[in-house]
Amino acid sequence: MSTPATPEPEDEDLVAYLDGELGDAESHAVESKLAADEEARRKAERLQKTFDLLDYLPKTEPSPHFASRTLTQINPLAAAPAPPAADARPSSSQPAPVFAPSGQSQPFPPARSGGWKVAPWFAALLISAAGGYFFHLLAKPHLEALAPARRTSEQVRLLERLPLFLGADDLDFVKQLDHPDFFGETDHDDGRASAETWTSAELVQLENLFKDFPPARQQQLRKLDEELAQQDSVGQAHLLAVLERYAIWLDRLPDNYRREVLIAPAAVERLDVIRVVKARLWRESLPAAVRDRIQQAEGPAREQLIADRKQQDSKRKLLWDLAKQEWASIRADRRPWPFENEALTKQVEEYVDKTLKPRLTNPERADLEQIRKEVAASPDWIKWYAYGNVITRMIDLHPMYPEAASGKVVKTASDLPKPFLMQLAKNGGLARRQLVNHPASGKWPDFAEAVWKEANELKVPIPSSVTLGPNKPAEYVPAVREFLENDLSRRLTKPERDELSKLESGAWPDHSRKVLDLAKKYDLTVPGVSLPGEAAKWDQVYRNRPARR
Amino acid sequence: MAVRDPDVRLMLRVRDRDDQAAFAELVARFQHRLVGIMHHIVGNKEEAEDLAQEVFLRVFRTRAKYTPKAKFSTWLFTIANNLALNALRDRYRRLQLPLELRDSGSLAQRPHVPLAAHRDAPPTQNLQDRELADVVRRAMDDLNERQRVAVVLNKFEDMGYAEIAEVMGLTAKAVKSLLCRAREKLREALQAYIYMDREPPAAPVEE
Repeated sequence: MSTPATPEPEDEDLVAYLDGELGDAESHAVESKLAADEEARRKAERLQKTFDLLDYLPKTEPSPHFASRTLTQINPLAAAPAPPAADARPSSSQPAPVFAPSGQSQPFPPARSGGWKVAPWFAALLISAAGGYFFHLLAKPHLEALAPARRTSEQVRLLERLPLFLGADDLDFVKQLDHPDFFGETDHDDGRASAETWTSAELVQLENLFKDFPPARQQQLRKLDEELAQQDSVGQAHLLAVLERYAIWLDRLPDNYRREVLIAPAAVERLDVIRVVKARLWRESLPAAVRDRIQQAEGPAREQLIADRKQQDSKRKLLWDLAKQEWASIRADRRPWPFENEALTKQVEEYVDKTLKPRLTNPERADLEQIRKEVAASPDWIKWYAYGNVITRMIDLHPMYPEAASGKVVKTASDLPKPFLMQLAKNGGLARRQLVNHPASGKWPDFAEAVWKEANELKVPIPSSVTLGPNKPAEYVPAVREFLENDLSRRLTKPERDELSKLESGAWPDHSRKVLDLAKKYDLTVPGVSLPGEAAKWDQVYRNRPARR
Repeated sequence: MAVRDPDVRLMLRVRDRDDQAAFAELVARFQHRLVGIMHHIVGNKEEAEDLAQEVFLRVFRTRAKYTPKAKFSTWLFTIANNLALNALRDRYRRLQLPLELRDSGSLAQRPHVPLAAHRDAPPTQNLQDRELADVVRRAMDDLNERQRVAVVLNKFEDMGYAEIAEVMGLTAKAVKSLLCRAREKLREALQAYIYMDREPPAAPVEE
């Protein structure tokens, strides 16, 4: 550990300045230093950004029984010096929920996390020790071949689905599994859980397995089954398919990995373990050479290798997806829409240069230039397609609004009045230093939108002196104004027109948003805002929305 | 003046009347912050919960000695600071034996990452965030204990230098240089990652 020697007073002031801890005079001194010295500016930026990285640390919530566990612990402590009648139990003279901040009606036993939930998984593991997990377990002949017991249809349903539930906690857990990172469908949903039918002997085995679970786990399984059954039929089939993919995955896992998944104490941890196991399997699936290279690398270089490889994988997948989708035009060796049309291509290029590019971050701009270079070098289908993809991705990252006629819109924190900033910070929002260093700072509408969102979320009214953006026809740039008067309003129905003009008395971005919605509805291009060409077509070709032809 | 602080009022009820309902309310109010902060400091959830519990128990045990001044939370975090520093120092003395579930690496102690928020993010995003979180965690672990506590209070409790000084029993000046060193160290450790999702500086930098 190398701790730098006593820091320079100058460095201390810089950090204190970023923390908002300096008085006026000292702040001024730092500010003028920053204004004059680029190196210092860069340093300040880096200090700030590293500090921002701490936001990546996961937020922890206390486990559900934390409070009750803590409170149970004070009983013996309270007993000793207690004045009369301070017994642990709520007496009639005291308010009832003494030990129940989390809605528990009784003190919870001071159990450590883990507890019974671990047990059923060990049970399942013991059974599976011989080899293949639960499917095999069912194949084993069982001694008790009882006559079909009297079971309700709910009980039968639960037993039939039990093999799917063994690795699952609750409905929420199942819903979390329904994600492309886990077992949600990836590209197309053909997945319906194949309806299993079990013989009566197998049902007996399942029943015995179920009975081996502690009551609480049984209850949990019953609840999961009931809640699943309450879903509509499509949702139910979908989640069952997720569960089936999960069960099959579990079944095929090496024993030690499966054990890790199953002994996780609760849903949250289990999801984490699944994620980690998946990552490990992914690593193991790599060609040996690549794996070795990753293994030998260390620190950032290693992370980089992993990230690169992942990116390659997802690129390859993307290419396959779109090859499937655009097979016809690839075979005909045409350019993809809209680039097969010269005039439209020109408009798109103009839009990219004038509207999109100024708002991109440096790496994004570099990406854009890179792909443009590639298109120029070998203008084949795939390059054009990639170009279209990059454009749409960037537009989605930087949604545009119609611009204001006057340049007087909010672009940086210094455009905002101090009391407003203080109110934001007070309500738990971005403090001034964070707004100053905001990645969107200097960019409209990105910055204005960030402020708007923040103010809305924290319920801080935006003062009337602050103009986030234009909100009535007269405030827009002439091209947009003309568009509103000549193109849009003619198409609108009376109620639509009324609604739009009512919004003029509100605040940005309500009016602008409505204009964009309506333009989209009538398939109109808002000057300087929309990408040339039909919006629906962009969605269909580049945003992987299902092609409806 | 301080008595207007509702937390102080609760604590006075605990002190003067052994009021367990008041104590329960204090636990309910502060458990999230305390467990969160402890987790950031010690780096694993179970230990964080144990420590947070210990803090509350100590609050209760020493209730008779409580004198209301300033904010209740300052007092609470003072206790938390002492316990956390002790725990961290203990670590160096006895090599921590892994608990049953920890033998397969750090799986069981991985903190909870909410998934719902990432639903719409591309699949790689999740992993990247995770890896970044691990890197940040390691950088935090490389700080010395006091630096780490100061950074965590500053960052996640939004505490000013004066309050950190009170909690940690230092002068504000000492806190200033403590934080400066910590931030420098974090900057060195995380330099390579700061532009992963943002704009790099205009010109390449030689160091």
